[in-house]
Amino acid sequence: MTAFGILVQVTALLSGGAYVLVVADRLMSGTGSVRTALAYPVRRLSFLLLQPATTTERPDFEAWILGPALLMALAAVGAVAVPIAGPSAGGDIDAGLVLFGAAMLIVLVAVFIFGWGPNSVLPMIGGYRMAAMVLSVGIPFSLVVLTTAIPAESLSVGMIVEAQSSLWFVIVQPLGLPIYLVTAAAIAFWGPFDLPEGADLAGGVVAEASGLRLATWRFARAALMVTLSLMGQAVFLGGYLGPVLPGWLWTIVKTLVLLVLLALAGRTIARMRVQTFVWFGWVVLLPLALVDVFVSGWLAL
Amino acid sequence: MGLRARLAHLAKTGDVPVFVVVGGGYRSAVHRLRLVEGISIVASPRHASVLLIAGALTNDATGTVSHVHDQMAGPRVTVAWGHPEPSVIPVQTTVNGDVTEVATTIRRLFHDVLSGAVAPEQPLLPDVDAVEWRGVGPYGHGGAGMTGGTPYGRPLALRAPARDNLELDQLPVTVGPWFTGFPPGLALRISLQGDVAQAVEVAPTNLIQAGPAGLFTRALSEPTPIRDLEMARARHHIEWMADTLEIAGVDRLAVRADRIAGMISPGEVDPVERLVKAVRRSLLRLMTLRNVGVLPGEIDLAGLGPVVRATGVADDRRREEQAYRDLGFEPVTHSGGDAWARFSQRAAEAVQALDLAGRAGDTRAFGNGEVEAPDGLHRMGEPDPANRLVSILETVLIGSEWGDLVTTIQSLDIDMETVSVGTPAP
Amino acid sequence: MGGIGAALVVFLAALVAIGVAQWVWAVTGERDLTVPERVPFAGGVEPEFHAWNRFHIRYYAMALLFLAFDMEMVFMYPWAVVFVKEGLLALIEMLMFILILIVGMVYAWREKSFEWA
Repeated sequence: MTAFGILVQVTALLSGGAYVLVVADRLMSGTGSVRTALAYPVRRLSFLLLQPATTTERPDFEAWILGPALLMALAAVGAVAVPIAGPSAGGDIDAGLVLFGAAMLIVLVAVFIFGWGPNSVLPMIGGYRMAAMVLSVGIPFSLVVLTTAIPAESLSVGMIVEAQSSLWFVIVQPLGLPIYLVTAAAIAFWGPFDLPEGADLAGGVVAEASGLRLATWRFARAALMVTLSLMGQAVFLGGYLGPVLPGWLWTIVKTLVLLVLLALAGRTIARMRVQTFVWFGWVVLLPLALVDVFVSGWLAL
Repeated sequence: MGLRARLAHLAKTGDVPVFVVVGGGYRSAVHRLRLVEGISIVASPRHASVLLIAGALTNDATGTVSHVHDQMAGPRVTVAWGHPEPSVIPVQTTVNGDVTEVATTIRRLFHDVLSGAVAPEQPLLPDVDAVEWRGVGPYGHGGAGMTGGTPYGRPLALRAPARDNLELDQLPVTVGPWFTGFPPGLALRISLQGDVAQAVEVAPTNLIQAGPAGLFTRALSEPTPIRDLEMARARHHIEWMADTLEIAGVDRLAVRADRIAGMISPGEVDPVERLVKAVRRSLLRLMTLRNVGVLPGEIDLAGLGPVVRATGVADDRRREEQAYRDLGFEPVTHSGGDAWARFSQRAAEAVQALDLAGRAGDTRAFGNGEVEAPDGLHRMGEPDPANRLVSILETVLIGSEWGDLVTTIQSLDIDMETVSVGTPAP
Repeated sequence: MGGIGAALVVFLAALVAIGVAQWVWAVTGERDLTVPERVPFAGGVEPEFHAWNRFHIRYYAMALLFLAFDMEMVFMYPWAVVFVKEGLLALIEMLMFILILIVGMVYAWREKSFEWA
């Protein structure tokens, strides 16, 4: 597959997934029918494109623009590492897991500079909160993803999917998927972990953003959620493997399952305090992730 | 049809982002507005297209409301709802009807401003730099001192010792009066070191003009049916729960609470009890409220209603009313004195109030100068409990992380309508 | 061009597309804004100070702990690939390494590095 082909594939996947996520989130937020929810992404985007530009009196102009661009680029590059249809299709990379892991931790930088950019106090606090969060869950997140590479003896996501041909890793490594989903929601600052965008900060990092800036940021975050779900289904739910249906359809179905699951949790669980979150990441998630590594390693021998 | 017109056509059927400035007597009404499909109440004016001024404000509010107006991303339109003429800032339309009428008006203006039938409002404040540019480089660097010069006129944060004896930057910020994390009208000058409040000062404000005297105020001078009082109490507490849930990010349950508040009836405790169960499942206690905003023992909380009862003290004026005693009334209490105790306390009081309302018949109570209102004991001729709650903020909030600070203020249920602090800012 | 080349193309394409769109939007739209329209939002009152400051990151001890564990992650990527081949020895070696780091985590916990207010 050419680089251009991969670009088209990633764009289509992320846009489609983002649409589903925004609709699901809208349905979860309480008011409104399915009909309005289905039209919501298009109407909302149209409005944001019409909104006049705003800025603050002394912003860091470049950093503020780089925030959404970097977030989008990281979401997109993370999606490249996941084979969609089969072992060789979709530009499978030798060390795809390393690329993915690196991209997801750099999300911290994108969110931080987006909060720093406007030179306004509420977004800035949001940016620093993101730092506290990612530093707390970065290790457990990387660990549970890496654990799937142990039985596969490879860091290529295609090989990890192939290694699940007899049994999915969600069963072999029961701790993996739950920890992955919790940490993934935190890295995408979603659901109960949307601290950088909390209502207690009037929107936090987006409090000063409007129009196209807000639209690109929202799209990039939704794309990030899709990338995280895409990787989650590949390493835990057997990716493109499945009976009857073609591989790419299985990938899409499993990705949507994880996306909807995260959307459900997003508006039904209360936002965690940042200090409780830091404690939770280090004292609960990290030891559990280590148990996952060593028990799975023992079983793989 | 050009691209602009096409986008406008799509956008005008979507949600209207509204920033609400809530004045006297309209807190409850805004809760009902939140339930209207297609109206989305936003937390930052940068996301809003419509500015809604609901309820009465004093003339001192002109400055802050104008700032919010100019900060709106637009295309801007302003609507006044139950806001007396002349309004604090120029408005497109004044509505005095119910929630349906204001929602229709907002939607119509949104249509018109997007399609170009109504011109978007221009900024109100003069285009003058309040602070002069004195820096050297593009970011004000290059002058004297470590960061050099005074970038864009505004000074850089001050240095001050932290609680751990480090000499670090301390940033004084005034947040409010229209910051949605705080009760409308409350502005705090907070000295932030990192995300922790080192010092808190209530900014002088007197922005909200009290609405018409409520049921509990009337009950000071005339005996009032217990059924009405308890229904009002239940509604007040459920709406407060909706606010808490909204700030905690559980939008779905916040909407549900608002819906319940609009259709409660005497004796029907079921919907509220089910809501409380759902709140438990949302992990609100574990995630957000537990051990937050614990009130220090040396603060005198007597007469502060649910706030004092959440520390385990059965302080309730209703015990001394014969009519309540005949109903077998016993105050509910919770222990702990943290934000979760106050949440459980108000939830339990809402249920109890509905139960009392169902059994009260036509009996009346109070009328002798003292009333147990939802926020505590009101006495004829004395300041409301809200004044005391505001005065304890300065001690209670010190050392709180930002999120805990907002949670604590919200958990105290402060209504700024009858509070005035010092001389208003110019 | 291998998979990594494609990843680079996708990365740059996304960065440039979103970046340029915003840049055009900002420079064309920001020109006409008045001074009050640019004041940062904090509830209706103008700020007295710049928001940027030497922010007191009170979780710095936790950030240092992250550095220690992140170094360990660097070793774990190759370790995971050869793990099955090397067998029990690899398991025990990494377990010892991790246990030492975990002691650090427990110490930080005891010293209350995970809370700061």
